[in-house]
Amino acid sequence: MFNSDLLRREAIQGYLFILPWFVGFVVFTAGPLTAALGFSFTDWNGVSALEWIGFENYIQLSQDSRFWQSLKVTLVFTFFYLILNLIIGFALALVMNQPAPGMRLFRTIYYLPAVLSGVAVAVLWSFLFHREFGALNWLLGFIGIKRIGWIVSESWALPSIIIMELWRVGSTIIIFLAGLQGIPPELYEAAEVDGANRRWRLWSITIPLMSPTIFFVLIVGFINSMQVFTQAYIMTRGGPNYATFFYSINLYQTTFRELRLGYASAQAGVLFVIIFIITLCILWVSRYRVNYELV
Amino acid sequence: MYRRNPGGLSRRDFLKSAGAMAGGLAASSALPFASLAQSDMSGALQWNTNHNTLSVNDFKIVIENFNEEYPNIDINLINSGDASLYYTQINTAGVGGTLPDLFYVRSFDAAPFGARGWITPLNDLMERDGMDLSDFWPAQVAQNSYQGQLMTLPYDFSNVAIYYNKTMFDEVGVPYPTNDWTWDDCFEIAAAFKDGEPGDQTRWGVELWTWAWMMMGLLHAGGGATFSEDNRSCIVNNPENVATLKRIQEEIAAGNAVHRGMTPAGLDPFLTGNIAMEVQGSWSAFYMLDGIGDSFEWDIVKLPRGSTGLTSVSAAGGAWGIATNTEDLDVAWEFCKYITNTESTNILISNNLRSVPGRLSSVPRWEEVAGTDIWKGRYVQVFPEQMLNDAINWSYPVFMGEYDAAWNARIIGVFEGNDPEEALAQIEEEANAAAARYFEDE
Repeated sequence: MFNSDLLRREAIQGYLFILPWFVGFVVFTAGPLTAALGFSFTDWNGVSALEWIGFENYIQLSQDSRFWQSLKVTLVFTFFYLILNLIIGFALALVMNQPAPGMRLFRTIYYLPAVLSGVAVAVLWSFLFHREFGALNWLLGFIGIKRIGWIVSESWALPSIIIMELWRVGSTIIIFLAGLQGIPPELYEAAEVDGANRRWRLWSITIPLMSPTIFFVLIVGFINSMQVFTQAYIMTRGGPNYATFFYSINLYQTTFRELRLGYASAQAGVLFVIIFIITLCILWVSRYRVNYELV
Repeated sequence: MYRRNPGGLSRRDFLKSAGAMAGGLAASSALPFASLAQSDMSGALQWNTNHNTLSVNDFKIVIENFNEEYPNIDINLINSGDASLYYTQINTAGVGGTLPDLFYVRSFDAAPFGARGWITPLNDLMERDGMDLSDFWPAQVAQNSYQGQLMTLPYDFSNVAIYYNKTMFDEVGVPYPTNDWTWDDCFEIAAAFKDGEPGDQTRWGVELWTWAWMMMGLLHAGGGATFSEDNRSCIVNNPENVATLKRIQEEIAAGNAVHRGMTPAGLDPFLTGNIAMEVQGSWSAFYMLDGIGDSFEWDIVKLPRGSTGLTSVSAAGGAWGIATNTEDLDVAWEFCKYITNTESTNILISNNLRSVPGRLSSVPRWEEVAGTDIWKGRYVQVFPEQMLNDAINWSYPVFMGEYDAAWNARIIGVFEGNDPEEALAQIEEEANAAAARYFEDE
């Protein structure tokens, strides 16, 4: 009896504690998500009456060249940005993990761009990328490279945004650094005693033990990359010629410029499904590639 | 083709009639107690604007003046300086049915906002209060109307001309351009200012903006149309427009002309002395005066004539719309009338030459200010003159926003060397897909 009352009271208290979160989740996340799913089957501009059109929006999406272009741009960006971000971030974290004088200052400098707002970074890089007056072309001029029309050229606009995003690799470095410093030094000492050189220590100790961190950076980076908006919107507005027309810009334009809320809901739904499926695939692969033994 | 403003009306005739109108208004305002008495009308209004700090200061002056006559009406002014943010807010509020009582509406937005039922048609209110349209620019009345109803009351009406750096012309030894020039003349003059080779230049002859509405005029001067006469479809992909864009493309490739994307972001290359001539709007004259200061001498000249012999100036303006969700239409209408009357228009536009006033009766004050020493005889009168003689009397279609997006996505590519025909075909296709969505229920 006593136990039962206590358990019930504890349960009630527990539910009360999670109630604010639960209400917030229902009102601000689950509710809008469900509503958006419903809207995706309608023709609605926010003003007109909702008109049920079944899968029409999804069928139209499959024939929409802007949809396919935005998906292509986003996936290409995500692929190259993720790989380069992981490699550069990991390499710099390895360097910054060395006990060298001035390393703290070095780490701070690298982390600084990560705390700047996306808009400020985009404006700054617009200057740096400028074909005639930008510092980047000025520097390249010293090694004989002709001026590149970074953000006004169809072929260079997307790489330009990747380069700009890589400048903010500091946040990835910090996560990798935390992971690296969590590896017990005894493992390296033991490996060294056994005659393992630097490369072997990297492959046999560092990378396996860092795999949960790498996996975390991969998942978070993937989800964020699929939703890139600010930088491209500020720098190129999706141009030139849709070369940087990211999925989120398309979604924004459909929602807030064209007010096709039903169609935009379908776009959002498709993005959700794409992110969900690819994340599941990454999680599935992680079961075989991520080493949690020492975590 | 599109109707043009009455070409027979000379500047003198126009000013005479505008002056008479202003005199009439002044006389009517002198009627005993007609406008001096304080009104008992009461209420609270939300007024949203998309302007800069200087304009906002003037808005506050007008609110103070209004409150002298209407002490029981509270006006809450909210300004969003960033255009993109402003329209996102307006669109979101429109969908949510929470639009501000009175808000800024550009020429391009009157029709789509009207089609969505966001702004109140004004014909009945105007008729009730005995207002007529004769004091507004005919072209702006057309642009601010939707299905025969005036949707907004005009604030300003803008067009573009060419600002040129006289000091640079003197240094290079090129005669100043004259009002009868053509685009061929313009590009020929521009070539004299080229400094460096394309791709490695620091000075160009002329800078062209890429705004869709402005380029509509330039295309028209070359004989090409953008929209069908009934504004229900986009017909921008035609041989005349292809030829015009190819011409611009060639001039850019030769380094004579430059588009805004090629010059440093955030800096005006005209102010920094990197270009000799700039296609720029009537709204910029005031800022040029302030920004250039004594750095160099400058003036303004008419937009050149195209291959058709026409100057074809595209005009667009700002206006005030009353939300259909306003809870006090009479109060909103009273305030809307007040901020667009001649006295307020003088304060908001003519006293500082911020673009061209939306009311003809404010033009004499505008002319008076333009003649003061501060303007040093610069030809700012070009803007109202172009409005009278060269503005195309067209309105914008309901799908102008989508056309604008499609245009912006492609035009930089064209100026950078893409095939104009292919780009125009794509723009036309995208704009017509949007048009079909608007008209599918009809």
